[in-house]
Amino acid sequence: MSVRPRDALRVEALTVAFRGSDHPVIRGVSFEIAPGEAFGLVGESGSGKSLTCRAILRLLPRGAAGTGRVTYGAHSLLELDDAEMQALRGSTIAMIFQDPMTALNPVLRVGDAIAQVIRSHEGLGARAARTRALEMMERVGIRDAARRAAAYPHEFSGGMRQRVHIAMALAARPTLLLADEPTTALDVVVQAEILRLLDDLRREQGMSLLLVSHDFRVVAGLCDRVGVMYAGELVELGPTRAVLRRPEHPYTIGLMNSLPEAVAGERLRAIPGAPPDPERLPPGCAFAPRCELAVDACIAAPVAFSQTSPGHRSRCLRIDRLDDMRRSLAAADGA
Amino acid sequence: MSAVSTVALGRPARRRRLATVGWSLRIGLVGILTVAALAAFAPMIAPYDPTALGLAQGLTPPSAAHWFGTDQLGRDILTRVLYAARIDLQIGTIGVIIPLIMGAVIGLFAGYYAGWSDAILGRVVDVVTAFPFLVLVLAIVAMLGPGLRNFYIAISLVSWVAYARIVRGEALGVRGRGYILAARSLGYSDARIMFRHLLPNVIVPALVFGMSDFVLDILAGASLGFFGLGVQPPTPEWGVMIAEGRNFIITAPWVVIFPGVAIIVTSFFVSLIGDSVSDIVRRVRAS
Repeated sequence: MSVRPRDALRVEALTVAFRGSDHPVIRGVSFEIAPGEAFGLVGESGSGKSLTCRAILRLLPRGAAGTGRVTYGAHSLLELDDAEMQALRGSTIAMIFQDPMTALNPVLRVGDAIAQVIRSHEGLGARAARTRALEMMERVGIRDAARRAAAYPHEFSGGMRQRVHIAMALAARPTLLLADEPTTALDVVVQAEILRLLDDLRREQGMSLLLVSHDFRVVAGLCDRVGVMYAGELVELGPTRAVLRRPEHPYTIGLMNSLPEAVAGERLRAIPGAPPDPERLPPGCAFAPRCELAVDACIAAPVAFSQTSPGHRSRCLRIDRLDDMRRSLAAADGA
Repeated sequence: MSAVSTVALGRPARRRRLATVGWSLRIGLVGILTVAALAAFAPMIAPYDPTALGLAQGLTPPSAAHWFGTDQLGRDILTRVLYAARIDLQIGTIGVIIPLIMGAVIGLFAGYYAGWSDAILGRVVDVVTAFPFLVLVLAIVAMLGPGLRNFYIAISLVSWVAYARIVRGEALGVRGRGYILAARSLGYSDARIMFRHLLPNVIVPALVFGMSDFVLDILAGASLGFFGLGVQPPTPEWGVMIAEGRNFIITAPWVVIFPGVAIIVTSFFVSLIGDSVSDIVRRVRAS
């Protein structure tokens, strides 16, 4: 596999709003993914992780529009015309989706589906595309590819379908892969296999990866850096190891605590309350209403996204008081 | 063992599925193919010339020489029924295919893009469906003038609406599926997504409707023939035959009965196919 020229993805002040609403659902998200880097976005459902992915590929739902600046190498993605953007999709930036049960066209044989990606992007003939499609199927761990290529999606299990879906996304050799909850719909054993596969493929192809998940463990295993999203904005951003060792935001700690296996033998500690309605965001820190450390200053005005250590940023005024909360995490780790 | 069992696994299920819906589908297919073969080979099978007059005295009842009897001009009815099948099958087929293609394309656009194209389609559908089908077809043919070509134009202008509505409804539901978004994320053009990804998933209900529409078109053709606006005599067509024989329905009922039976039998076979196809689709979707 030849190494393609690689680019960095830069997302600057990305804001997504639905038409007719002055309350954006994604508010000024900025991050960067270096060439070949794996970056994770974590947060609960509705925090805007998936919309961030779709905004990058300009595949937002009807009525939603993204503003800000998104660049990939020399391309300014939000400013390209539709045809240029379409040419980048699949060939340079690809995406995989959460539910492998619906992400495959039920009337297309899987071999044809993969070959179609190759033909449409690389102009190969039917035979050459088919050969490449079979190679791709082997690469994602589908044994007996020549025979399985003739099967329809309903003949595959969930994990196998996700492999097919990954094969399609990677068939035209993209350099950036957006993976939106790629393992959420799968059982735990298959989850681990798919994550390992994604990691291997990323290293082999020298691809950059944006991995979106609600599960900290998924991101922790694969990503160099991680961003934590809450109510449409980043609340913490830093190297995965640093964030895991010393989280700098109460929401991050809450998220880690609410993992089913974090506290063996104890009750799950859910974060009290629910995420805010984007139409009625509190004027200050969006997490303040659910935060046990919140003080008047948190509620009064928006909190800046400030650096706590090199490469590590947090949107919290009470960082110096986080130790107690972190101890609950340490206790859980020890148990 | 494993290779044998996987190969064997696929087959019985498929065979069972075919076996349960199989009979009505098989009867329908064999029936319609038989009708088509009779039509195709009419010149070889038919005992007489379809337009030859005075083969016998007019209005002779069925006999060994004329199985279906003769009509008021002494023409052999069996021969004319066979030749008429050529026209009537053509009416059914063209009357379905052209509107199906028009309706599918328009319905796909409206369903995929939604927005203004969908709003326009909605208004057109409302207007066209406000009129009874046959009245509208009759009115258009009356304006354009009688003849088969104008009949096809009229049918196409009216019945694409039904196909468009069906395809649009299906497309509206399917366009939100994951695989359509996935197709967009792979950089496929809208045209490719519509025709290669959306169309195969939305066309079956329209095809099933096409089967009943086939019958409707033959009946419309017969009605137009009856009013003298469709196929022109002496070309044999079932509807025209019934129209011409209507004055003798009491004294010589065979003149009307045999072309009538031909319409019923053909319709029956086509309906059987349509029913079993929709049955299969429902079962596949349910499983």
